[in-house]
Amino acid sequence: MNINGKAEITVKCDFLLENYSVVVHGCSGYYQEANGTLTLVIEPEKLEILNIVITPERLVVGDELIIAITVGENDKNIVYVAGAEASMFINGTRVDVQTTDVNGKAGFRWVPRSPSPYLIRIVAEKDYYEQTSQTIRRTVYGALRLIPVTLIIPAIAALLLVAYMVRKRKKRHITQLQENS
Amino acid sequence: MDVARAKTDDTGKATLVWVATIKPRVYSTYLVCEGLSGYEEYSKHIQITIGKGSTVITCPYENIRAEYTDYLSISSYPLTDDEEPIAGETPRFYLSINAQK
Repeated sequence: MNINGKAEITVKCDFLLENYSVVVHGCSGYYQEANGTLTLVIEPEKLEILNIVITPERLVVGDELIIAITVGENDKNIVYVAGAEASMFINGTRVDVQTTDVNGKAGFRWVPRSPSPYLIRIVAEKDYYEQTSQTIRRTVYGALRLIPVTLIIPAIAALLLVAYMVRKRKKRHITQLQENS
Repeated sequence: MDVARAKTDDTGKATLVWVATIKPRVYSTYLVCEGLSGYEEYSKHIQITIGKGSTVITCPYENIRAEYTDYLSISSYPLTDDEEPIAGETPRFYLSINAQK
């Protein structure tokens, strides 16, 4: 207790979610006993997806989609939440479940098999915490791809060779016709 | 322990105003008249009981809501019955659910 007669304690509220009574009991050799009472309600902490990184930007069938998230408490000070269950839902179906590490991080991987717009929902939950989620819309495109340069050069060379052979054969044929006439 | 001295007034009355800051209990007290010129010494035994002061504990916030894992400060102010703050005492804080500590 300080000079102004104020007694203060700081508690970390990591006990069960309940309604509590706090009784302050004063008793000393010089003063009579006295009690002060207050009520304390511990509510669930709110989770928040602090960060979400999705790669690649443009998604094509067969490509691997990678999602990295960071889960924390929605307080002023950043507190990462370890051991939270993070789930990924694709169009409402849960396809992956991960657990956040000590830095609140978890990652998902998914390979789309057909082109379509998809609704990707990430849900984070943990005991004594209020669930949080984020929904992202992503379009998966068909696997139409440009032919790589390494294939174009041999293809052109082959075409030129065929054209050259056809022309040569044609020339020989004309020469043969001229000789016969 | 020599507590204090007082001088008699015109009516022969000696009054002592003394703030009882010693530990509450029953004390044996002797009033002694001594060193009086022309008079014999005399002493009288009386009992003084100093009781504990009345206190009231007030809490500025009587309803507190906190979220799981948050840090929380709980304050209390023990006051005397004259509403004077009491410094240097250590109240205990008990947490209870359904009146069980």
